[in-house]
Amino acid sequence: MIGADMSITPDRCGQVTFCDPFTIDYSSYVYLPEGFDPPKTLKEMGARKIKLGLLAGTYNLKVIQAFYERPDDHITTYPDTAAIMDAITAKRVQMGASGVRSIRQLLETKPGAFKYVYPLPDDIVAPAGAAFRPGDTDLITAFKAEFQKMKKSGEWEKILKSFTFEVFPGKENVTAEQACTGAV
Amino acid sequence: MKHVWTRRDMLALMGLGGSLFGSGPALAQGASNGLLEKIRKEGVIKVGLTNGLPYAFMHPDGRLDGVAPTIVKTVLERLGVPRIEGVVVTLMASSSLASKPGAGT
Repeated sequence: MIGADMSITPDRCGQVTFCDPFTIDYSSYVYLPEGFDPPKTLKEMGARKIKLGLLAGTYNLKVIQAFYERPDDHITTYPDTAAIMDAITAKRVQMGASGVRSIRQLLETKPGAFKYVYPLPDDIVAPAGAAFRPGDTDLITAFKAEFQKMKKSGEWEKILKSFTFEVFPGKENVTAEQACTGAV
Repeated sequence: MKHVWTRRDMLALMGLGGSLFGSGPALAQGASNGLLEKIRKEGVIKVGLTNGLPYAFMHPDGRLDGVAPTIVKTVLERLGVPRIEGVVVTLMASSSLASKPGAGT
């Protein structure tokens, strides 16, 4: 098995075979609350030309860019979440996007300094799951079938919640094929 | 913080198949290479992961933790493969492949 937990993206789907997603998540959007009214949608974010920091290569970059008239003027990419937080603190950007679990961990060390909105209704999700070599078809078929049984029995959801993941309504049954479109 | 898997890293891992996964060269989509039977007999499979809880993590003693290894282990046990060995991959950030928010795998 190539990876236990890889982001499912169109690029990768051309190289490996994915199981149906284990986890599905949204970005959270962090900001300093003083004098800043956070947008309620990505559409509003783009319309207000909010300066935004994103992780380099993030899964929803193109979607967010599409909401901005001139994205290069307002969106900056950073190598990691800590760099995004530094950029917000230094007021180089007004908001930054990262995973909610990363943000929650960072906020534990800086309580009260930042706030975040999560999820935004017009954002897309980041599905992740196990990746296989395309030729390992017997393993892939058996793995997919057994994973479906786990989902139906409720065991999957129990495991997710034990690791602080959520099951989003309407996203419970996203398949690898759907995830591979990059627009779930 | 986990890192983004680059195209080169993935291809390198795929190329390791013969030794890392015990299955020889990758076959065309749709063909079966008998890997499941092989790992059932050997009782073990090696799985690539990047360290970053709660997604996936390998402890110093080799124990695997996190949501993905827990699901993988549960599924594979039911397929008759009792043991998974983690292969931690430390990778450089890349903008060529997208990542899940904040995790970067």
